[in-house]
Amino acid sequence: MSLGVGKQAINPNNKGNLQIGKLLTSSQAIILIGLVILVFVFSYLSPYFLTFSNFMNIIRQMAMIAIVAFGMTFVIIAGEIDLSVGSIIGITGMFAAITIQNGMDPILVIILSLLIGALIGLFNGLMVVKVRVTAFLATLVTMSVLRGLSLASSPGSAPVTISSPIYVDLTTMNIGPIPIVLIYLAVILIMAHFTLNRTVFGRHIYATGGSPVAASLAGVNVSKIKIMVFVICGTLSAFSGIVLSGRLSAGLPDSGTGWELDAIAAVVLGGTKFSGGQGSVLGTIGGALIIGVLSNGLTLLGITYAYQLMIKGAIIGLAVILDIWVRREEA
Amino acid sequence: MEGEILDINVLEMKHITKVFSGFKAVDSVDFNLIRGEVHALLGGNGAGKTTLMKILAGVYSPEKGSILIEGNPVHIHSRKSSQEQGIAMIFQELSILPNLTVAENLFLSREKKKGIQLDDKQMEKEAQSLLESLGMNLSPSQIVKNLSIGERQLIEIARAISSDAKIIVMDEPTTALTQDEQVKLFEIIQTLTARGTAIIYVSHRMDEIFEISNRITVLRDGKKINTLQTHQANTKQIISMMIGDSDLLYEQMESKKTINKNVSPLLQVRNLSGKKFENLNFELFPGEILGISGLLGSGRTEILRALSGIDPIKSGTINMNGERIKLKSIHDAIRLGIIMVPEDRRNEGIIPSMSIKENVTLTNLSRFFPRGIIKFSDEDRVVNENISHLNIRPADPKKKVGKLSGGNAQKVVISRCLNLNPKILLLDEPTQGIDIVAKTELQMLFRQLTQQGMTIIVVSSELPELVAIADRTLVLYDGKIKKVLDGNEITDKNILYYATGGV
Repeated sequence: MSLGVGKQAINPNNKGNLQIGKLLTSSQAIILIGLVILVFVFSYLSPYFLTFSNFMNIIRQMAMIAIVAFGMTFVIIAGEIDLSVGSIIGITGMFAAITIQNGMDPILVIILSLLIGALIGLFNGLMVVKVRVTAFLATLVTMSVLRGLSLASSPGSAPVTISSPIYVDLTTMNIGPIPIVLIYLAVILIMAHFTLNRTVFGRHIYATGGSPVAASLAGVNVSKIKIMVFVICGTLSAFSGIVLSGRLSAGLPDSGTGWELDAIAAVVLGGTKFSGGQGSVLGTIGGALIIGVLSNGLTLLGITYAYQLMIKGAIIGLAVILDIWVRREEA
Repeated sequence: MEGEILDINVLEMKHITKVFSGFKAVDSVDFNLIRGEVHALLGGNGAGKTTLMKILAGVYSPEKGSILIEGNPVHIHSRKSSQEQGIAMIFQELSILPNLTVAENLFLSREKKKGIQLDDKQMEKEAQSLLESLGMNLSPSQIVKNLSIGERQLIEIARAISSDAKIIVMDEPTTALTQDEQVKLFEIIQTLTARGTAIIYVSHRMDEIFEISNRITVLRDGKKINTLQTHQANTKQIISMMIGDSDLLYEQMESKKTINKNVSPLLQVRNLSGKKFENLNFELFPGEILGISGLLGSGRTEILRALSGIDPIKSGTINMNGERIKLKSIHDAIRLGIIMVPEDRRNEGIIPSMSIKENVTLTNLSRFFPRGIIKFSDEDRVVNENISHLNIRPADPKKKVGKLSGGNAQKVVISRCLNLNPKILLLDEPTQGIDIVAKTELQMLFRQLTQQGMTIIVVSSELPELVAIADRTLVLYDGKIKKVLDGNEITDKNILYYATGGV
């Protein structure tokens, strides 16, 4: 989306603007502008918005969505989609809560939870690559089955409390003034960005999404790449599920419901092309920030969840329309 | 036709020079146009054709030089002043408005009026007679949106004519036209020239140029190389002029076909059957260009796909350097140094959303960087070598390949394959739909590559291509080898004879 907007705004022949042009052609700039506008509007409307504690609130809230959205970025760049992320969050949270209650070592629980996420991703990937079900359907199936499983895992679908201090600390503690979630977020962002931009694997993801046939004829193992992006997305969703359950000190059978939409929205707002082959995690973090700021600001203004959904939907719709419109202009 | 042309210059352009940021796009070019002639203007990408025409159209003003219309010096400083001099331009990008009717488009910006009202009836009547005089069967009241691209182009031409243009510039006018529309266009051109209108015809298509033009001017690197009478020119000579010092390479290309069949073959194919072909037996000798010809559906492409590990082999054996090889996947083939340049360049060759750099290094990336981390400086070095070796334009590693012309996109695909340093290069219709300059460059490249030790199999439905570059040619008929043609036996006639099932 924003990639095109930047191009339109900058005269490519103007050499003096080349450096700025380079920055502005990237999707981050447009995201940044949107973000600044939102921050201005909310600061004007609510005195609480622009405070440090609220800022940390936003970070904590958006960090979990952003981590899922990074995984989603990989999948979408590879030309696929993963609807099961929210259910993975639910199932890993329940798994962690139940096993900890039964006395399992919290560190082992974390490792196993991540493994479960990876295995679910592997299953999604195999369904898409080997059974050749479209990703939309394959992950819709996992989404539904896993959500059912997490609801069934607790009698009456009641929350299961987590009383392990280590588990809760690992997800909620602060290092100085900085919440540890922010550090997780930063580390994953750097790793994801590096993977996409500096590794052979990352290049192969772009190639797979750009043109699977051409990539395959060029010797890229397209099947392997597709499976890998689902595994990454599943693992990151599991990680987000662990953080969420730690924050709540409980596993909730319905946690993560609807997160696939927020994650996809963050990716699309971040300028990653839904058709695959183009995009970046830096854009996605911007998209997640917009969604985080929007939710937080609207809540501070006392706007109910129902209206928030409508406003969020409208903004995402606008971004998508803008994207299509710009692409048509370019053609 | 020749005799009727009075030698009157409708247009003279003298010593025209146009500089873009220090670079002479047009360098002291002389060009003249005689009343009633079709003058073909030729040159590769960046030769200066478009710049020269845009000077004539008033889009650019030249640093030096003068323009004379019917012997009088004129000053063309805008589109409008160009039109006032009777110059009409038909560019590739159409400038007609889709929501207006045919008649409204024809009279755009010079509408007929009755008082302050538009005189639609009068315009439609005049449009009707104009269209009829050009033999175009269109209703003037039709909305342009509903017409084909070809019909729109014809309207554009009609508009140029209705403005009483003395000079009409047509830039690649047949690109969007069907065969029928092209015939119609050529009829219109003949009607026009008979009336004394002069036409500058910019095109890459040799056959059209020889059919329609009276004279040919070739530009290269902004300079005029020569102007010739069409009936005294031939394709080879013109291509040489467009490319530059290619005579030597041309001779190299023709003095080929000295394959030493006494050496042991690089590839030995025995009783090979697969999708659409069966029981093939042939050898591939090191350093040769083996052509494969046959009608559509004769199994040409499928042989290449099987040899590059894309399609499965049903039965039979392939030996490479005497050892049996298995080609179960593309990766097997790539590991053995066999790689294919696919026919469908846009969908199977390039990755349009990626840059030139990302495309050319794709196949080799994991070999270049075994640790999995890309070192950009190494990658830049490779792509810059590729760009200069194959003369890829624009020479910008970051340019998205989806935006390149067909010829340049193909050069990107070929560079990607060559970076593997393959032993056997499989080419499926390598020059289809590519302009003549790039085509010749590529054909010369293939010959050079074999001289450096590479072996090539080329599938082509363009017979002159096989005649020009193949050392031997397998002619297929219905999935079987009908005939192997050697050296000078490779002629259009022989290929067609066996490809259609002749015994």
